[in-house]
Amino acid sequence: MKPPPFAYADPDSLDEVLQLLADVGDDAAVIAGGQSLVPLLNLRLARPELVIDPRRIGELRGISFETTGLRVGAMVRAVDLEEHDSTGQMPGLTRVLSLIGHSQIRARTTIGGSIAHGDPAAELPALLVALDGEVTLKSRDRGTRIVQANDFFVGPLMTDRAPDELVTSIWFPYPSGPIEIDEVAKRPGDFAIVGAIASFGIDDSNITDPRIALFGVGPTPWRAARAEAFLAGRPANAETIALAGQAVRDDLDPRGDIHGSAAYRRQLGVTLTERTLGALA
Amino acid sequence: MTNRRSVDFQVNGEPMTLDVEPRLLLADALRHELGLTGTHVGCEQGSCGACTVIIDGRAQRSCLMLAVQADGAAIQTIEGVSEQGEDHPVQVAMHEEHGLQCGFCTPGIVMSLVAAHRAGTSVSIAKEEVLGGHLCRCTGYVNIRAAIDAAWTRLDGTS
Repeated sequence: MKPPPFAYADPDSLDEVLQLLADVGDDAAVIAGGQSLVPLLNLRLARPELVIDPRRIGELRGISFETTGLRVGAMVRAVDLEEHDSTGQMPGLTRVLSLIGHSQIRARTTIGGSIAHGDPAAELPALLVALDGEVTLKSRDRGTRIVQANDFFVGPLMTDRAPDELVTSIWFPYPSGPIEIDEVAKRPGDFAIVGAIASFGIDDSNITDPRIALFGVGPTPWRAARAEAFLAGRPANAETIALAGQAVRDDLDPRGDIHGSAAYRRQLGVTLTERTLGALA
Repeated sequence: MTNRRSVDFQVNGEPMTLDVEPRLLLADALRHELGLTGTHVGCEQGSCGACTVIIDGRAQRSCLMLAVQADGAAIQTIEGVSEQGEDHPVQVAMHEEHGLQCGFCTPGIVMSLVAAHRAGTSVSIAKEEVLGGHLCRCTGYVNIRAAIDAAWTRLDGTS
């Protein structure tokens, strides 16, 4: 199908974007890369009165690898981050990005768009949750608001963003070690049935700062808190990893759907947790 | 409250101005406003890749972009890849290796491959990652992969 009629605005300044969002609120849709919104328009699942395109707002396009983390403007495209000179400061980041759709999608899809869309099977929301990142939002009436990743994703395609707010930047703190990601999808480039992101540091041969987030297993990215607790302070060996896998098996309670049963998803969650941890060990 | 908009862009090297409804997809602007029907529209949700064109140097889905978003962009479609009336080496290779049957998916695949080769993409990534962004229901991909090998050999002058 074709999109329903809507008005379009691509203002020159952030203030004008926030003014439009304040005026139109729920009936406005912000288009970033459009790789999720345009399919929704084409299917007429989205029927906004106004589509706001912040493409002219230069301040939403910054990429800054800082001392303790990575700050990305909401309108930064996946490919721009993937090809950035400093990705080495966050080992594993380019591998995470490479699993988003296909190269033809990554040429347009944006970091802020993916976070604001909040797909529970997508890579970037899970990365943000794994790293305890933050989302910066701006609105005309309440100024700047910073929301922790864990509080930002509230359900499938549902976030804490208010209708008058714009996601302006994302903060990905560096973890203590490299990031490992693995996922199972029907075809490369498809949304994952289940995926896992893990990271830990090693101090005196023991695990520090362990992080595990699974995606495709529930309404939001799922942090394997008890598995992380098992890992902390233990040696990075097969026995420890098996303990973490068992904790995921006990705690993970996915729903089944047409793409995979609950039992299959649980098993994938365990396997992918063990696999990503094993790659780090 | 749909506001028609004027879009200035370059298509196959020619500056163009269109007056469009905001809801018009770039793919439909190319096909219906400009008559460039070589860009095909399949799934309209970004899965099939038939509508792929090169926008500012990168292969992208023209069905996942509004024409108004293309304001200021340089676009290349399948109609613009031949040079001096000669088919592009990717087109020649697709022909010679029987990389198509019905041909519906072919223009999109050619555009992705042309952009990938220009960007210095390796033949192995072209055959996996780049071709992975396209669905072909006829060929089983074997001959398309052979065509990619042949095209890269032609373009790079190596075997």
